[in-house]
Amino acid sequence: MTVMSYLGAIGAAQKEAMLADDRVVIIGEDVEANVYGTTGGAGKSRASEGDFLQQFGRNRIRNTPISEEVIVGAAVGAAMTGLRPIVDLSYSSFLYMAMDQFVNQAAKNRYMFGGQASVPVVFRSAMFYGLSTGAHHSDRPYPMFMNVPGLKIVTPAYPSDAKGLLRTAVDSDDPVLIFEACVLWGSKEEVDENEYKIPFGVGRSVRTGTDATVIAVSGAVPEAVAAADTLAKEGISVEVFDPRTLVPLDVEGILTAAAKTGRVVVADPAHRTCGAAAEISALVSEHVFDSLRAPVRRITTPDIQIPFSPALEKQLYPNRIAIADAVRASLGVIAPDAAGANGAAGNGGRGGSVATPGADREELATGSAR
Amino acid sequence: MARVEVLLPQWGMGMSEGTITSWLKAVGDTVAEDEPLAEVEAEKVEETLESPAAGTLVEILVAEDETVEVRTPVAVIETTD
Repeated sequence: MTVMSYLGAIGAAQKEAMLADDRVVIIGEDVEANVYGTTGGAGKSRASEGDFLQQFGRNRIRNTPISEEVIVGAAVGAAMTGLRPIVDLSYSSFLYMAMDQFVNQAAKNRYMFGGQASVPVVFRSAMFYGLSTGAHHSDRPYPMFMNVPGLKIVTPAYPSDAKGLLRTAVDSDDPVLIFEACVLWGSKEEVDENEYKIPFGVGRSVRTGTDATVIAVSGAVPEAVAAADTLAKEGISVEVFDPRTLVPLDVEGILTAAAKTGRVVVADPAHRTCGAAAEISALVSEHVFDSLRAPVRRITTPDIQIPFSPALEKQLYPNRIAIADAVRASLGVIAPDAAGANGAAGNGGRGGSVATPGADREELATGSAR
Repeated sequence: MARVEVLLPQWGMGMSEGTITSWLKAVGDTVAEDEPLAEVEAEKVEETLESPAAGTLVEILVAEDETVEVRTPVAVIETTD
């Protein structure tokens, strides 16, 4: 085991896959110079001895023009004729430029050609949300692609998952889209430096608990764990479940985790409408309704454009405060710090929206008087 | 005399946080503008944090091996003018 960052684990998985199979190639913008940090050598310096370009050569590490439709189309063609490309598309919002190739070609070709050709290609892209990159670069678009049959959708939240899931993705004979949250790039954990693969459709129980269940996606997972830590100090035991892959989805794992406590919060950094959280909430309501002791709650990003301002932007995404509040609401308890006159704590995530108990009573009284 | 906060820069669009790996100056040291203050490890790079102003380093707010978000004040420099 060795400590790896999320970005380092992706680099390690790419190197493993390239050493294991000559058909694996990496193509994308600025992959030769390691601009996106996953094709370097041992150190972080671009020119460090033994980077991917020196190890594997230009035949297998190929820079592309800035034309996403061409990149994706060429990769699909290469995959159908025998290579197993890993495509670095950098920003997830750049996937939109290649929608025809993704939806009409990558996703459908195996079906359209009656199974004569498969499409073993991995598309990696990073969601730069939370970093003041403006509306054009901050999207979390995995729900759009979940809606396209034929694509596999992977959303690793930890370095060890990023490594194991990327290896499985390279083995897949169908197109796989991996969405990496940039806010996770610096996170570190012990990762097995030996080869291992994590199967798709198998979620990870990050924490076990008995009072409430948080099902969290991508960058919301560490926030859910932080919320669970806070709630543990209040005597509330929270189960945190990370599906890890959204297509295929670990429906069984989600339903088991939900039914275990009967109180479910789904945390998802994507926009609210038709998101992963909506799908997960619907599955829980459809299949384990009898186990529910409170309505399923969703903590998502509102359906608005992402502002550049760091102060405004940070409030939009699911954070530990909002997740903890939703769990408390599900249990019908009030946050200990909200009992004081100036209840808002932490980094302003709750802001002034939580009234004091006194104000609540007044509001209720006014309400009933009407 | 003015107090200038040294903020952790966002060196690239993918950078959300950084770890101060070593301080090259101590509290009380005189520093020139652009003089190296500390070594920082971020997601993709190791970089040198340079002083935004000339003056005296009067406070170190983030200890070595501590990780903070971009735009977090890491030190304070008191200028002479």
